Amino acid sequence: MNPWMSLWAAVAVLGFAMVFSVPRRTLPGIMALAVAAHLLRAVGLEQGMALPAASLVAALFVGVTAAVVAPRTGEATPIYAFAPVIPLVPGTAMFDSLIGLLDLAAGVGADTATSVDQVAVDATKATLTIIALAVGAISPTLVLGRRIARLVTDQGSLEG
Amino acid sequence: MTDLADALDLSLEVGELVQLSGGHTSRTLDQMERVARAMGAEECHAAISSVNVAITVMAGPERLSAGRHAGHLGINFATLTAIKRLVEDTEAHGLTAGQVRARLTLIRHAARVYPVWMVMLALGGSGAAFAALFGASAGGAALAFLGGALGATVRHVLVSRHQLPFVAVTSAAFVAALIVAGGLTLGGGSVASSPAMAASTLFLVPGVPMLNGTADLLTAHYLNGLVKLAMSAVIIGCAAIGLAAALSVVRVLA
Repeated sequence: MNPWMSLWAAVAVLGFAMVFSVPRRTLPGIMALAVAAHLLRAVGLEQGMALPAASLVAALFVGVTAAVVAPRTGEATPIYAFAPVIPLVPGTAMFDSLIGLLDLAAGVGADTATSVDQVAVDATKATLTIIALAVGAISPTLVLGRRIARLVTDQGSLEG
Repeated sequence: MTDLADALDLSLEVGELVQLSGGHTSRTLDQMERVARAMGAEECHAAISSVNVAITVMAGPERLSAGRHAGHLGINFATLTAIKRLVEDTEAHGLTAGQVRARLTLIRHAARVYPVWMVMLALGGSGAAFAALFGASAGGAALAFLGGALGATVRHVLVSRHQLPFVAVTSAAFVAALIVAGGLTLGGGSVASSPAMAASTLFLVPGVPMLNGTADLLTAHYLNGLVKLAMSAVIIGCAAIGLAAALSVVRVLA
């Protein structure tokens, strides 16, 4: 595992953050969160977790952080919850399953059964990972959002 | 306009803006009903479909209902924040209808947060970064940058000319993938196993509808959730078609 590779997640998230029209002041936080999430997933994969499970852990980290940070900074929660998980999209698995499908359709490859298996594995991995990212990023806000927001803003008012 | 009519009108305005800016259904409902209550409604019931927002507000014997078309599911998180702050200020400081309406007008007409050229370059950068994350060489990342930036520009031009999403997305994916596949082929590299190819169309990932669709399903707004997930599936399918078409062209020409 090369932890420096995760810095690319900051560049990857930048374009999406701009498409989402996030306020400029939130860009550094979003980029930092994307790098941290990518690093967390890389550590999970290094420890032998499957891609969807490691992605779920990373997305939950993003979701919980967003649920805590957004009310404290007065921003809408999706600003911190949505963009940072985009660099975790399983592009390679999605692409491999598409290439496998095209090869199957064109009759390329010696063993059709093996090709079908590989396409099914890649497509399942990609689909489960995308579901894990979506559920992980959004569920903390839906389940704990109000409570965390109240806790955070109460603390803020106590601190002055 | 009576107080209750103001509550009705302003909550619809808020609902439309949240819906147009990428808020999920629960958020839209919540913000509409909070504004309506803060403006004097004793009871209110909002209803959201994928293309409409509607609300009924009640105070004493008076009851008013209205709906508004909010068809385009756009994305503008700066607007979501501005509306969130407006709703909180309305509740906390008792803003008048005139003050709320003035702030809504400012929010609706706010300038773009980022110029278009900057977004296109940043999407190119996203493509290059994805390629690097997948293990591409510097040359592959450079091709992914070019493909991403030009593909994003094609999508922007087609969307601003009101082309259907499947036309805009398929064309953008085709252009981006053709640039990357063409460059790789000219450079003597393998297209089918290239990380740069895998990254070439990821700028089209429909992140917001996918996450909002999931949020809607998890909060029991099943119909709205399915609409957003269907929209995401169409975008992903069109990107795959564009990518496959580009690969086929390059394979035939190579």
